Amino acid sequence: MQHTKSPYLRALVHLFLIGWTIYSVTPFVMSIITSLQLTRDATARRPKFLAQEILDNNVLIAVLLFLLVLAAFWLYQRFRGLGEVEQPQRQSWTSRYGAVLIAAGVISAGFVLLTNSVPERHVYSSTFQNYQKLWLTAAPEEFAPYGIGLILLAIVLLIVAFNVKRIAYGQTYVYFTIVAIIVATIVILPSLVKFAEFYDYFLNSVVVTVGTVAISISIGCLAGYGLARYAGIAGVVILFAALAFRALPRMAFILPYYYFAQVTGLYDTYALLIITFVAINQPFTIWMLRSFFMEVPREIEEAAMIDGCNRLTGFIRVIVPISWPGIITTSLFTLLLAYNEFLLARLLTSSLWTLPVGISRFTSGEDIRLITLSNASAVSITLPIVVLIIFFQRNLVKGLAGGAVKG
Amino acid sequence: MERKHFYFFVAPSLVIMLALMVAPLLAAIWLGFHRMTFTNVTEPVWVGLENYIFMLSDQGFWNSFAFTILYIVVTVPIQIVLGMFVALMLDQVRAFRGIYMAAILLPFIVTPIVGTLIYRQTFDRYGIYPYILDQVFGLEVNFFLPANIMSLVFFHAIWYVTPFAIVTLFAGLQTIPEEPLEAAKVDGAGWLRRLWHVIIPHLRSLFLLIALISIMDAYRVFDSIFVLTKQNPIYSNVETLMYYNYEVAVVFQRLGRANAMSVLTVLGIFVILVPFLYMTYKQQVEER
Repeated sequence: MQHTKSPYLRALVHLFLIGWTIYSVTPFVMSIITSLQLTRDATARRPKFLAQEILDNNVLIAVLLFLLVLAAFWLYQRFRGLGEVEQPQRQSWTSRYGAVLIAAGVISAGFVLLTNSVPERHVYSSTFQNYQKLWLTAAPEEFAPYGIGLILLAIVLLIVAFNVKRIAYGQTYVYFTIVAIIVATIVILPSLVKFAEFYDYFLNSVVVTVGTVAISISIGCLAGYGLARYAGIAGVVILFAALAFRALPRMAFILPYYYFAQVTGLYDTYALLIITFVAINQPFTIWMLRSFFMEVPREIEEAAMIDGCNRLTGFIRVIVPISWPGIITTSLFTLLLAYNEFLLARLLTSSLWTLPVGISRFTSGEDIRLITLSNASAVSITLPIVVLIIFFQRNLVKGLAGGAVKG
Repeated sequence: MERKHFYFFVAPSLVIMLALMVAPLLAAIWLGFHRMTFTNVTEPVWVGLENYIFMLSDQGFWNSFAFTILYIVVTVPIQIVLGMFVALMLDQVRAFRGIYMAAILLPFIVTPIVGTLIYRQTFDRYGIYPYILDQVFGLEVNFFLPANIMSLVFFHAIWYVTPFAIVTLFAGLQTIPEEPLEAAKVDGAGWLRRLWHVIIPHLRSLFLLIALISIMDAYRVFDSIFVLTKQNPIYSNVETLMYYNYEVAVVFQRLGRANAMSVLTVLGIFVILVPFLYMTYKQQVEER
């Protein structure tokens, strides 16, 4: 649709969207702030939202902010219009940077003024002891060398991951190595440092999520492809049944699962969690993958079959490689569903708690002293997902759009 | 694709769905005929229709059913209208769109139980919203009184559920071809008339889909009620079907009754969804 020309209207639209953004993000910001506080500060009558450390170094931070705004604008100028057909008009150097310099200056000065004008009662001194309580049983000094090593490793891996595209071939092996290193780190670390129970929840979450995504996507791909290509009435019936299954309340499955798990002795095992997660995600997965496979032209697999592939090899060697973006998008959604599932994991486990079950002990909210711990755990759970989504935001939006609009 | 290939491809998925969705459903009906607690899970006692009759005459069941219907009736239309509005706004701007999109997506991707927890805290006694209301308007509001908790549940639903509609509708808006809009403009249609006669009809199937998905999700809302009520029985006025079902199973420890109740809720969702499912089915058959 056309963009509005009136600057006032556009300012109004931006104002509304900024308001919505603030409403969306406020709980997250408050959660991060609270997770860095002592209980005494978190339960003060007036909310404390400025760290003493920020107040002490506010000039330094303002300078950094100034440089950051300039850098962000430079990046924006550099990458804007990338991939668009029409290149944006070049403006003169002064008109481009003059306004930005003024804006950056105003932002930095405003930051200094604002931080200085915040009354004493809104200032707290920050601490990491909540995270430490949650994740470590050892003293933090003991963990420090490993922590520095981990951060360095993460930086190296990130740099490699960002530059993989420049390597001419063998990219798959590089990705494979990165994943192997991460897995090895996660597995080896507990033998070096004493972790608290949250690390176990984290490990359980990782195992269950990865298992669910792997099985769900491999089964779902076959079914999605079959449904995308078969014209008979059975295809419609299966799709429709899957949609109906998606509507069912979880409790209708969970109680029988509980019964069967007790009868067969599968209760409280990874296998049970993974297979049930796969089952409840299956309807969604096949719908979404079907809509991605529908976009692949039939001619491609016909060509592959003329070249000597049968249905299955043609699918694996030809269709899957060109459908990677769609498969990644679906994996992302399956991952989110598996990582976020609470009720199923709560009722089907007694010791293999995943992260959402781990945090649920803070949800009764009766013990006010737990407020900082619960926020630290909320941030810990959310962080991996947010990092993942920053990498794959495009896939996520495309998935919501593509799968939905077509389906 | 021939039939035998089709069944070969679909078989694994079909087996999983038959074994872990159809079979449990039948098992739930069967277990509903038994008296069962956590102590005798493996050897339930046959009691016939007793559990079903008990649940149907249970006041808590009908109360939670009524609140679930209210929840659907309030949140689904708000979600669609507000989602359309924000999507249109997003469509109007180019600058900062990525930032807005990221912020809108955040409540959608976060673990529901965590998102609700941190959302609840902003309204809690030490939270930011009561403080702002107090400082700016001089209002002292306790959102956790049983009379006020319902508004909190709906506020939370808007925060948590609308992003799905926003992003889907925004993506739908990108697929609208320019020509009919241009033609409508040439014919002298204003912005509102273009919206009503060109854009909304184009997105009709998308509205159906969002309604279908969000009714399903609203009907089985559990995590947010579980956290917002702090599992405190004084908030019985915002108990949804899923939450009451959980209560019967885990708190009252009546697994047989809980099974009977989940069978009844399954019947309920199909009664509600019949028109939507019928429309989708017709669409699929036509598309075939």
